[in-house]
Formats: sequence, structure tokens, C-alpha cells
Amino acid sequence: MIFQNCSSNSLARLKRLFQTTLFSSIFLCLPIKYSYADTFNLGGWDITGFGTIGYAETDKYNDLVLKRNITQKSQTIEDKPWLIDSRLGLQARKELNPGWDAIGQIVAQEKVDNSLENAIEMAFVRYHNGKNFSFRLGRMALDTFQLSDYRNVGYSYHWVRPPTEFYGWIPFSNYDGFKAVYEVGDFDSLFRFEAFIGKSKSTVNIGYNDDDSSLNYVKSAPVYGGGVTWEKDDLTLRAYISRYRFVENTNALKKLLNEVEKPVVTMFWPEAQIIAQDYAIENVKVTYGAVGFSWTPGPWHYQGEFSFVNASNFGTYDGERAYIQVGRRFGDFLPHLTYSKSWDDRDFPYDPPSPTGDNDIDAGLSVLYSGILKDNLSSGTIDQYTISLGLRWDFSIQKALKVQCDRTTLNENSLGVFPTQNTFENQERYFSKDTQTWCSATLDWVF
Amino acid sequence: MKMIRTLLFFFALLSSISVPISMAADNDTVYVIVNQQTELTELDQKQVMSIFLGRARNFPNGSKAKPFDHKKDSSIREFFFESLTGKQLSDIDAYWARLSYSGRAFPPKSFDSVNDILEEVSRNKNAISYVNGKSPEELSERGVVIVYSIKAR
Repeated sequence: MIFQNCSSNSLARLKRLFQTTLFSSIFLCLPIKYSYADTFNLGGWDITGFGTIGYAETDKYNDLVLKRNITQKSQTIEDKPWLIDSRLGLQARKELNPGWDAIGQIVAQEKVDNSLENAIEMAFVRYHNGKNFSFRLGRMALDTFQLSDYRNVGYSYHWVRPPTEFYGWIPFSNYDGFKAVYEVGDFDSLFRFEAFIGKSKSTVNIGYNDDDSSLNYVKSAPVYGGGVTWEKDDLTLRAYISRYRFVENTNALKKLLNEVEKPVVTMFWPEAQIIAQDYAIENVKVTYGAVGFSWTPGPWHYQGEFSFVNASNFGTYDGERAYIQVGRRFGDFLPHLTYSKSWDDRDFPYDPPSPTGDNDIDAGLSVLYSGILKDNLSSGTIDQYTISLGLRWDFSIQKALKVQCDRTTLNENSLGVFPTQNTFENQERYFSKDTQTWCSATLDWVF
Repeated sequence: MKMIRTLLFFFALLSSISVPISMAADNDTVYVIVNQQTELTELDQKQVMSIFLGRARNFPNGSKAKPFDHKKDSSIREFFFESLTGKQLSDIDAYWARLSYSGRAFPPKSFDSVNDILEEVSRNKNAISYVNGKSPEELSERGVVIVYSIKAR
């Protein structure tokens, strides 16, 4: 009864206060206690870990939902800004025999699929011949892009979150398979050549809704690729290319394909099936390529990356992405500035259905054309840019506080990462070009 | 305003508990040492840096190099890495976070004291580490060889 008399606003404030107190308590008790202890050993396993407590100012805006990536559930994130960047990871490693070791990593974070199996980011055995070659077998982090294999470890980079234009759309974070690495070099420079093959899966929430057709299981097999990294002094250059074959259509695509098979559609607008097939991803192969660099002369930090996605259909992301970051360290403080951009200029090359003379049928076909087919393209479109200004403060050993403000300009219907509440079901699915500003803060640590 | 209040809360909280990490190393020389069996007599700065940053797994003579470190909060570790690399210790720790949590490489095992490190280096033929507070004569008596030195500030 008491709670019924409270306004929802008051409840939200109480909840936020509770969360603040809880997280502060965890922070005060746990990380400090362990911050000066080195690796903890349990039965021959070295146990280490990382964590992030984050807060993003999102509730001021209600027309777009700020997300870290598409594996997060939009409606869960919307009212829980603590969940966007907060996570906790544990890693265990054991040297089995000379040349052999085993590594496992589990990460608790907000995801559409919060199962234990999906929380396992790494679980592999590795053999190193002691010289140039190493081989891994099991579940490994997918490192198609420069940061993609450690993007959960906030302490390892300066942003609150890696540029969303570049990293927010990536559905996969790991793969089950095999990887070979060959390293050659001297004390002056090092070349590392990598090749991998395996399969990957993920569940993503592209768009705003929280129903069967919005929570999409994405599976890719095989995934394969390779890359080369060159390290010399403060400079690292990296190039990577990988190819993915999608095994099956997502729930949303299955629903779309069912829709266009209805008799009224096949009779009055047969082209709808062709259009829907152009969205289908089953057996479609997509190529991801990326080149990146990191250069840290003295106190300066420069980092940049460019990538492309080569897809021939509408059901996947497409276009190019890039970012450049400049930072400078002043003692324990490191201010930085980043510009990131994603291009996607795909057009919808299909004409609307011809009038049938029946008002009801024409209205239904119009909804199918505009609402389901044409506007659904925006679910995979990331056509936007962001200017980010941030500050990292390494206030104690292996702990950093980071603040960052992002000013993002989204072109018309660029809804590939940040969804809008104006869904098709609400008859309002449209987003005109606009600019949004989000500020966030995180506390990151490793232990 | 809510965001600013939250940030102020965090900064106040952290300011009250943070500890100074820029402590000066002891006023002597830091010696990089190896086991006598490596048959090494000298390493240069780039070679030492490559081994301690996990980029090189072997000594110049081809034998395996296994680095050992001091505790993460020790002043000698901060001095050593900042002198060797010219980077802030937090940048080195972030670098190791990138390598270790992606499974690529792992930071050297650490020991609590100089004596523990001397014992490990004198016992392990592949070992390399660094110590301070000991004279070259003392180190020689412990069965280790100085291959590089850094004069303290």
C-alpha cells in the first residue's frame, strides 16, 4: 500500500539511490582489498579479473536508447543506465605442461542471452613450441578488429566504451574453433601472423521491441580469417580480414518471409517475395576487413582504425567505419578526443506496389512496403558520426576513473545501434536527422 | 545536474581513498639480473624492454627468457618500468591488461621481496629480473649476473 502511494518517479529515485549505495559498497570493499595482492592461485590456476562500474546519462532523452552494442536488450538498458557499461570478468589460467596452458574467462554483463554458456568468453588450450608457433583450440575471443578481443576490459583503453559506430554493431565476441599464430622478429620489431577457423553465435536485439521477432539468434559457420600485426617501439600496425557465412535467418527475417508468402501478397504484389529474399541472410557470406594503428610516442596516444563490411543484401550491416583518437598523458590524467564515423548509403531500389483498386488491400500493401520492408532497412543502417571528449584518471594502482561525453549526429533513420521507441507497431517508425549528447562515467579496475 | 552530482560523488569518494603511487625508488641502482647459466654478460635497453613487455620470449643467444617481477604496488616496479619504457606505470598495466585478457600473453610472475627474486633467479636458469639495494658483489655471491643497470633518480 505504501508503495502504491509513491509516485513511480520516487520509486525510481529510491532504486537509483539503492543501486548507488550498493555499487559504492562493492567498490569500497572488494577492489581495494585485492588491489595490492598479485595473482591469486587456486589449485594451480592463476585467477585474475577485471571489472567496470558505469553510469550513463540516458534518461533525459526518450526518443533514442543509448546502447553499448546490439547484444544488449534495448528495453532493459533504457531505464537502467548502470547496466550499459557495468560488467565483471574472471579469468583462470593454468600451465599444464611445458608449452601447454589452458585459459578460461567468464564475463557477467547485460546481454539478451544471459545464460552461463553465453557468459563464457574464452575456454581454450594452447600449445606453444617455444619459438615461433602457437596453436589454440576451444572458445577464443574474436579479434577481427583492433579492440574486439579485449573490449570488455575497460581498464585497457581510455574510452568509457569503444566507439559505438565502430564496435557497437558487432554481433559476435567469440568463436569456437582453431587458431594458429606465427611470430617472427627480433628485439627491434615483431611480426605476428594469425589464421583462424570456427563457428560463432550470438543473440542480438536490433530495434526496440522485446518480442520473439526482435530477439534474434545469429549463427555463423564457418567463420574464418587471418591477419598480420607489426610492432616496433611505440608503433603497432594491424590488418585483418575475415569471412562469415550465416547459417539461418533471424526471427525477424523469418517473420518477414512468412508475411510475403500470404496469398494476398503473392497475388497482388509478387515482387515482395524477391525483396524479402534480398533481406534473407541464410547462406549469405559477409566479408569484414579492418586496418588499424596505435602509436604512443612519449606522453601522446594516437589510435585509429578503418573497416569495411562487404554484404550484398539488406539483412546485414554494410558500409565503412573509422575512428581516430588523440590523447595526452599529464601524470595520472589522460584527456582524449575521438572522432568516429560510420557510412551506409544504401538505398531501397524497389518501387511501391501498384494500386489494386481495393482500398483495404492497397493500405495493407502500403504498410508492407513502407513499414516492414523499406523502413526495416534502418534497423541495419549506421550512418552517423560522434565526437567524444573524455578524461581518464589513474587514481590508484590498476584502477581508473573515466568520464566521457559523446555528441552523436545520426542521419535519417540511422537506427542500427541506438533504437527508437517509435516502432512500426506504434505506426511511427521514423527518425529524422538529429544530434544527441550523452555523458557517461566508469570506474575500471583489474585485479 | 544529476550527472554532475554523480561525478562529484565519485571524485570525492575516490579522492578520499586514493594512495600516492609516485613514490621514489630507493636511492641506489636497479640491476637487471640473470642466472649465471645463461652465459649472458650484457643486454641493451631495447632487449630488456622486449623481454619484460612479453614481445621477446628468448635471450639474444636463443635460450628461453622467463622474466620475474616485483609486486604491482612496489616502488621499484614503478621506477623500473617508467625508466625503461618512458611510460607511466598505469600505461604498462593497461598494456598487460590488453594482452592477458585477450589470452595473448601474461605478465611475469611476481614476488614479494628482493630476496625471493634473488632466490628464484639463482635457481632458474632461464630467469631474468631486477633488484635494488644490493651491491654487484652481493649479487655475484648469490649466483646471478648483472646484464643491465638503471641509475636511480
